[in-house]
Amino acid sequence: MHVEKIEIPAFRVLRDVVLEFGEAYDPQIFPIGSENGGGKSTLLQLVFALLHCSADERRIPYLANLLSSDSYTGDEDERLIARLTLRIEGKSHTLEFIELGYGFLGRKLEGPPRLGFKTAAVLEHIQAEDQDELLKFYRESFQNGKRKIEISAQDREALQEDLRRMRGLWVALNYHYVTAYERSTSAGAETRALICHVQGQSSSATEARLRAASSRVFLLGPSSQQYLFLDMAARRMLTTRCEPEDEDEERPQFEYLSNLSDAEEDMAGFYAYDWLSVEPLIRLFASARDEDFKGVVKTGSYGNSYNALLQQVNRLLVGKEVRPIEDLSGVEFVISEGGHEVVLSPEDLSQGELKRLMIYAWLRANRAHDALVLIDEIETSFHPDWQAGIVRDLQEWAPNTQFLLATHSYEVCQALTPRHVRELRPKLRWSSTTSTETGDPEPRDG
Amino acid sequence: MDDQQALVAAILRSPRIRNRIVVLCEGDVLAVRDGRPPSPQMYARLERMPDANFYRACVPRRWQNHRLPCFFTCGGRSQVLSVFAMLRTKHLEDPAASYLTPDKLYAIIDLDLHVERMPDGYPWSTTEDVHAALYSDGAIAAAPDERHRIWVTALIHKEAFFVLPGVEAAWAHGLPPFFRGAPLSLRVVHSAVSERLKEDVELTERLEVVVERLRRFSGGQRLVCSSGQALGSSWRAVAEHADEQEYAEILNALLAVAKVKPLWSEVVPEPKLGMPSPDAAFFRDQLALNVAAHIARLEPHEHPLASFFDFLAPRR
Repeated sequence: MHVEKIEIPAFRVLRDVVLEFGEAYDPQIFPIGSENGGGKSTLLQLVFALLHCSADERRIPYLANLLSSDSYTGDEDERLIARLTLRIEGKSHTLEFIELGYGFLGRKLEGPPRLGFKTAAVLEHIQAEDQDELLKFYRESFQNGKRKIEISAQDREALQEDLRRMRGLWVALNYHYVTAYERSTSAGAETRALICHVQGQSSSATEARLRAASSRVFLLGPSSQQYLFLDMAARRMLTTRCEPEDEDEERPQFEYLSNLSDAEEDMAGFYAYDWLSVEPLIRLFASARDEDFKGVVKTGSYGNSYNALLQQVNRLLVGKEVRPIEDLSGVEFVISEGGHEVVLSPEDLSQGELKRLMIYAWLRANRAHDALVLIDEIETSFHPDWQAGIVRDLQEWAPNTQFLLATHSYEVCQALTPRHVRELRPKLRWSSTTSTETGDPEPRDG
Repeated sequence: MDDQQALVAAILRSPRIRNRIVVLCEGDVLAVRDGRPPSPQMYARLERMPDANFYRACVPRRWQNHRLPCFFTCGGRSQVLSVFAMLRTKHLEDPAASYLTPDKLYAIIDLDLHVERMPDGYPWSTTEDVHAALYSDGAIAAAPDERHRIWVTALIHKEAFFVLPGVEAAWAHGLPPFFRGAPLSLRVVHSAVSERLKEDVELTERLEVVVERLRRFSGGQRLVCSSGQALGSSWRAVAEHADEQEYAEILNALLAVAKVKPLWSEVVPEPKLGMPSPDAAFFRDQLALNVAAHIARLEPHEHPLASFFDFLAPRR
């Protein structure tokens, strides 16, 4: 799966973005440049979250967080968030992700529904068939709003009826309902819904398309990045300091990393790399070991996967070798000195070297083949020579995969033609529909 | 300060060249920037890929864990030679103000038909002398003289490398190139190159150089060098009955004197994809990079450019 075109009319700092990645480009590796704060990271995260999370209940909250971070304050009832044209097995499919407001329901349904998107979303989650849960939720909702009302059987029936009407509307319009989320509009905080639509496809076919896409899209970025798909509290941890009087308190940044680990667990296609993250490498060795063991069971002799992998990995290192610890709880790096192996301390390792190794291991461990891989700040920790070389590395490590690389590096670009490079041009930020007061900094681009 | 002096000053002041091989080559000089670091946006706005990127992409893959050379485009051949000489002079005038390591300064220029004079004091007098000293039958000499700092290409232009046998592997996984309405066949291009000899006015004007050069090619002995037309006809006649070895020999001879550039500009992407014509230039840049990536995987004895980098390897 490759992306042919990305269109984003307005999302956070992004304005009128149209990026094309035609089949004619070889290799399918595209650096994306912009000024600092120009929206490269936002673009990658939005594309990733839409494709990776839209058809997976566990990942939906991440997508909702990201959509809630939008600083667009317009209150239209129907707004295109992104149009993504994908090429899957030689055919083009255009997925439109559209934000809907409550007024949309008023226009499309006969008689205004009592149900907003927020209520509908929660009802979906608590299995509307469970009447007791429904009643509890409804009471709590209204008590929070300082209004106590009796809920009659008629009310309950009306809510159920609204929910059925809403579901029927999605089917009639061939919309796949994705999630509800809150964002600021000129009228205050409002709940919005995200739907996905593919021209000429039923809502269930669109959902199937999204499911297929979700396993073939990946996002790699540094662990110090602001990830908009984390909730606001987690995002703020990255730029919060410990209270000086509270010596025992853990730095908030550690909590942020813990949130990132949870996100990696929930979103299999996400990898926040840093030089200590050897998990992909361990996974790769474990998989090679299992492969060899399968060989014994099948043929009576061990295969060569583990040794071949070890050789390949060592070729990526300069003057040192990797040694997996026996129980695969970690790896050591060793150098030979006078015929003896000396284990290196972490400070003796080059971050760029390890980053390169982990990207290699991660691509292999995830079998990123015929996939879309989005990498943020590809050049960080790399010497300019390796910035130039990483393009060729990616080409060799995952030849049928498409890479979009958010970068500030001229060296990365020089390995490709100027036509491969995409640019996000700055747009006016102070338009009437843009707020910069969300308190949420734009993800750092490098 | 003229453009060339500005380029020389910019190279000497570039911290990236510190203790590193510097290779000067032909190609448009990128505008000297007003102190701003180069960015992807600047690269995206270039109309064509800088020629240096081809050579950069030819650096062998086995160099990936070593320091890579810095490439600088300096204009035409005479400008490259002039910048080469100026860099050494300026460095010696004030070594403290320069990051250059003179022993690591090299250049590579096209052989071309016009014979260029080498800088004063250089051990070889002309591009033709350098070519004769470096190559035999289009392949590098067994042990090139250590004093070779300015290299000339084994064949007439770097574009000749785009049509050498075996290069098809470079586009095996990408879009197939088309030439004159059909999928590109190297033998068809070779034949077209030989056909074009009869129109090559420069070749007629420099026939002496051509005759002398072809003496250094075993395939050249089988060709009639009395005129461009005779050379082309005799090449096709020999090619028709040549076995693989003979064909390789006469091809090297042909590509040492016949220009591929004009025909390379007829290489286009598969027409059915409907790419508009300006995209053909981009497609050729892309092909050139793929050819370079192919060369980067070859052993020194398999390609003259791989030999060039093999020569540089101990000086990294």
